[in-house]
Amino acid sequence: MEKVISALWSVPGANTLEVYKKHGGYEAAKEVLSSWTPEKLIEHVKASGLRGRGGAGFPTGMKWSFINRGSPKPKYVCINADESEPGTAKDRYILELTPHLLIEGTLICAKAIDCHHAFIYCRGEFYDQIAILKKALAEAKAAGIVGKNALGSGYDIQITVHSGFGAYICGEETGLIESLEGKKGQPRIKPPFPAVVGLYNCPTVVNNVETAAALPWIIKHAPEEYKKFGTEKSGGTKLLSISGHVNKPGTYEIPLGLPLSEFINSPNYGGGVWKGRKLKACIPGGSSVPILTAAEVEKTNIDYESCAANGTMLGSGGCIVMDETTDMVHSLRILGHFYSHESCGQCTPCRTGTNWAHRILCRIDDGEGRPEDVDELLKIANNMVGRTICPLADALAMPIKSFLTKFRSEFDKKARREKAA
Amino acid sequence: MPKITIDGKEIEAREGQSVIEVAHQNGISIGHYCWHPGLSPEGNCRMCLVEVEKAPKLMPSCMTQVAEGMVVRTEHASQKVRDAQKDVMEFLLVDHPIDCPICDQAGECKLQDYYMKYDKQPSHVPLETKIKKEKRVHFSDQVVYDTERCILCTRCVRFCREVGGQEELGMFNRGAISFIGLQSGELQSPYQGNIVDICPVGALTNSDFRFRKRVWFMSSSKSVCAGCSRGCNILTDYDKEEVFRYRPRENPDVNKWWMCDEGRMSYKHIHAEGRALVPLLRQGGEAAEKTGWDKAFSRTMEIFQLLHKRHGAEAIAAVGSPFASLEENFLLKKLFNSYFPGSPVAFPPEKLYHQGQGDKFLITADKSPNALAGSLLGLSALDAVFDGIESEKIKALYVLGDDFLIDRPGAPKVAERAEKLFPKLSWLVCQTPYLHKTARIAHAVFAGAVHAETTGTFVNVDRRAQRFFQAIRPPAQAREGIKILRDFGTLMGAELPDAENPAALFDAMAAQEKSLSGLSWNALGDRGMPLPSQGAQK
Repeated sequence: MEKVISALWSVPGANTLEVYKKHGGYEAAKEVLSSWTPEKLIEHVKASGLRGRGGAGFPTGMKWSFINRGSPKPKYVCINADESEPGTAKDRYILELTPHLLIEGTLICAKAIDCHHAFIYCRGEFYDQIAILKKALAEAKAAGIVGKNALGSGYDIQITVHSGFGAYICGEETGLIESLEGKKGQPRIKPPFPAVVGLYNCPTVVNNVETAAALPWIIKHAPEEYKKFGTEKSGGTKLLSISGHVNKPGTYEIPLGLPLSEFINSPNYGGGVWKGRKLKACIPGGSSVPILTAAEVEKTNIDYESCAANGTMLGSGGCIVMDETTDMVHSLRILGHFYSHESCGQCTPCRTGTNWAHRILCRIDDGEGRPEDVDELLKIANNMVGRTICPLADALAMPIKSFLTKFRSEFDKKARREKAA
Repeated sequence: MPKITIDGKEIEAREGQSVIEVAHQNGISIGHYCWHPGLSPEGNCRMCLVEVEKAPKLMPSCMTQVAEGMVVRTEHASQKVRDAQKDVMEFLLVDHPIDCPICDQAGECKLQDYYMKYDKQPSHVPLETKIKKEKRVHFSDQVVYDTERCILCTRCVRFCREVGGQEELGMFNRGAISFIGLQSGELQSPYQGNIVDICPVGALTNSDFRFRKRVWFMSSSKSVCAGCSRGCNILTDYDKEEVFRYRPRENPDVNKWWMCDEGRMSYKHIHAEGRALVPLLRQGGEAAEKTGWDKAFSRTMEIFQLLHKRHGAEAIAAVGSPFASLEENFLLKKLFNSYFPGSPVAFPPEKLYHQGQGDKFLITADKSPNALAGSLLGLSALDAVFDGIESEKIKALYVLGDDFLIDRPGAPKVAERAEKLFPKLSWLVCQTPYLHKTARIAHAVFAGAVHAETTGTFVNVDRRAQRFFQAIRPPAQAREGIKILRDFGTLMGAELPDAENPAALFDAMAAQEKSLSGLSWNALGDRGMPLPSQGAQK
C-alpha cells in the first residue's frame, strides 16, 4: 500500500527541509497557497472523505466550512498535538520524523479558513519532539516557506509552536484554546463552538496533527484517490498504534477497513499476541473507548462504521492488546487512575465520579472490596455519562461499563474477595 | 421576545436570557449551586440540569439561552431531571466531611437543603475513605476557607474577577484534589465579605461570625447600612438583644447583592463600649451624673423656659444629624419650630463626614447615611448656630447625635468653632447613643438609640428614601430617638404630629414636607423609592 503519512518515516534525514523537499515537500502547500481558493480546497477535502483523526472523526472539510471567512476578526488554526490518550502514539512520530509534513499541512489548513496565524499546541511531555518541530519551523521560516509571502504565494502566514504543561484535558479542543490563551485548561461549554467563538473569541478551527499531515498527499491527488484506501464511508488511511501484549508494538499506517484481527496478527503490523498466548480483549481506539472481547475483535474492522456497529469507537487509534493472563480489574484500575488524575475538576460528576470510581477499583483490586461495589461502580458510570461539559467523564464511564458488562465475573470474584483460581 | 414553555407554562422571555433566569422570574425554582444572578454563568455544578425538547442530553439551565418555541421540563415535571439532581447531590457529598455540627453554614447550607429536597439517601461512603484536604486556610483576616467542604462552584472566583475587579482567587490543581486558592498574598478586596455570603456551602466562613451563633437562633430585620451614604440594603441578624452580623439584601437599584466590608463590620458599633445607657444631668458639679428620664427632661425644660422668658425664643437652637433618621430630624425641627419659633434648627455641613474618595462601586466618601436630611427638611447651616452662640444670642443648644469636638478632615473648622463656642452655652443637651466628647461636656445627655434599635428612613446619596426596621431594643435605659423627642416635646407642650407608629409618622411627615410629597411609608416598600426630583419641586 502506498503510504500517505508515513511514507518518509524510513527515509534518513526526513526531518530536514532538504530531504523533505527532495521528496516533493511543500509542493502541495505552494500550489494551494498561490492558486487555490478556500472554496476549492474545502470541496476537495470534503470529496476526499478525510475525517478528523483526533478521535471524534468529524469530516474535516465540513469543519472548515463552518468558519465565517467574511468575519472581520482574525481566523485561527490550532493544530492539536496534545496527544495524550493512553495507547496512542501516532502524532509524536509525525513530529519526530516528518515535522515539515505537519508544517505543510498546517499551511493548507490555514488557507482553508483564511487564517494568517496558526498555532501548534504540543503536549508538554513532547520535549524532544517540540525541539525537532521548532528546528524544522526555523528552517521553514528561513527558507521563506512560513512567514510573509509564504512560498512566494503572496499569502502571509505565521506559525507558533506552543507547549502545554502536561494536562490530558488540554487535548479537548476548548480546553486547548483556554490553555493557549494562558488560562487553566478547562473545557468550555458548547455552544458556542470554536468555529464561532474560539481562540481569543475569534473563529477557530482545531485540527489534529494526523489530519493536517494527510493534507499534502490529498492535495496532490484527486480526492477519489484518497477515498480508495478505505471503505465507502471511512475514506483514506489511518495511523494506528498498537501496544500491549503483541510481538510488534508500534505505529502503523493502515487503510481504513482493515480487519482488527488482521492488524493484531499480521506480521506487517502487530505480529500476533506475544508468548504464544491467546487474545483476551482489545481496546481498539485509545483508552477511552469501550473494550472488545476476543470474539468481538474477530467481527470488527478498523473503520468508523464497523467500530460503531460493534459498540466501540475508532477514537484516536490507540490499539491496546490484552492477552489471556490479563487481570481486567487491575487494567480498569489503571484507566481509573488516569482519568481521575486528569479530570480538570470543573464539573461535579466528573471531578468526583472519576475519583470515586478509582477508589472503588483500588479497593476491589487490593482485595478489600465489597460485593456491592461492582454495582456501585456501574451506577457511578451511569451517573457520569452525558452530564458534564466535556466528554472526559464519558471517557472513563464507557470503559467501566464495557469492562463490567463483558468481564463482570472477574470483578465480582475480586469484590467478594475470592481467591483467584 | 422568544416564547418558551417551562413545565407546561407558556412564558415570554427576553432575548439572551438563560432558562434558569426565566424560570426563577416566573416562580419556578430550579436547584443550583454555581449559578448566581449577579455573576456570569459557569455551568459546572450540574445541579440545574433541565430537559429541553429535541436536545439529546440534559442541559444546564444556567448556560442554556432561551430560544423561540423552546420546551423545557424542570425538576418539577421530569423524573429524569430529578434523578440527575439526586446523582449530582450524591457526587457532591462523596467527599464532603459531613461536619455540620461544627460548621457555621449549618442551617443556611445549600448542601443540607438540597440533601433533604433531592437526595435523602444514607451515605455509603465510609468517612475514613474520604479525601482529606486542608481545613482553615486563611484567605485574609476576614475570610477562612475549608477545602474539604468546598464544592468548587467558583462563585468566589468569579466574584473577585467580575465584581471585585481583581483576579484574586483561582481554582488550583485538578480533579478531586482541586481547591480554591489565592493568586498571591491575601485577599485585598474591600468587598471580600461577599464571597462568604455567596458561598453556597460552608467552605468560606467569616472569621468575625465563626462559632458565635447558630443561624437558626437568629432573626433578621430588613435594614439599611449606615456605614456610608450609599445605603446598601441589608439584613440585620440578631438574637435576643444582640446583633451578630449584617448581610447584604438584594436591591437592584442600590447595591445589587453586595455590600462593602467596612459596612458589614459597622454592626460592631452597636455593642461597642461607650454607649450612653442612662440619661445624664449636670447638677452643680463639673460632670453630668446618672439620672432618670423625668428629671433630665424637667430640668432641661425648666432651663429652656427660663432662657426663653429672659432672652426670647431665639436663644434656644438645635442641630440635627445625618446619623439620625429622617423622622428624628423632622421631629426635632417640628419641636423647635413650634416652641421656639425663629430659632435656627441647623444641620451639619455636607462635607463634615467625608473621608477619602469612595470608589466606583458602592463605597462613597460621605460616611453618614442620611446627609440629605438637612436640605430635604430645609434646616439651616450649622454656621448660623455657631454665629448665634458667638454673638451670645443663642444660650442653649439641643444636639442630635453627633460629636462636634473631634477633628474631621472633611470640615476642620467645625471642631475648632465648637470647641471654642460650646463652653459658652448655658445649657447643652446632647441626644446621643454614644458618650462622645460633646456628650461629656453636655449639661444633659439623653441616651439614644443606634439605627439597628429603631425604625425609620434614610435618604441615600442618590436621593432614594429607604426604610429600616428595628432589630433590637436600645440598651439599658436608652430610648429610641423618636420616643425621646416625642416625650420631651409632649412635656414642652409642642405640637408634634399625632403618629402612633413609624408608618403614620412617615406619612404625616411626607404630607408636611414638600420634598417628600407623594411618598408614603407603604409605597417605599423593601427597596425604597427615589425622591421627587429637585427640578420638579421648583
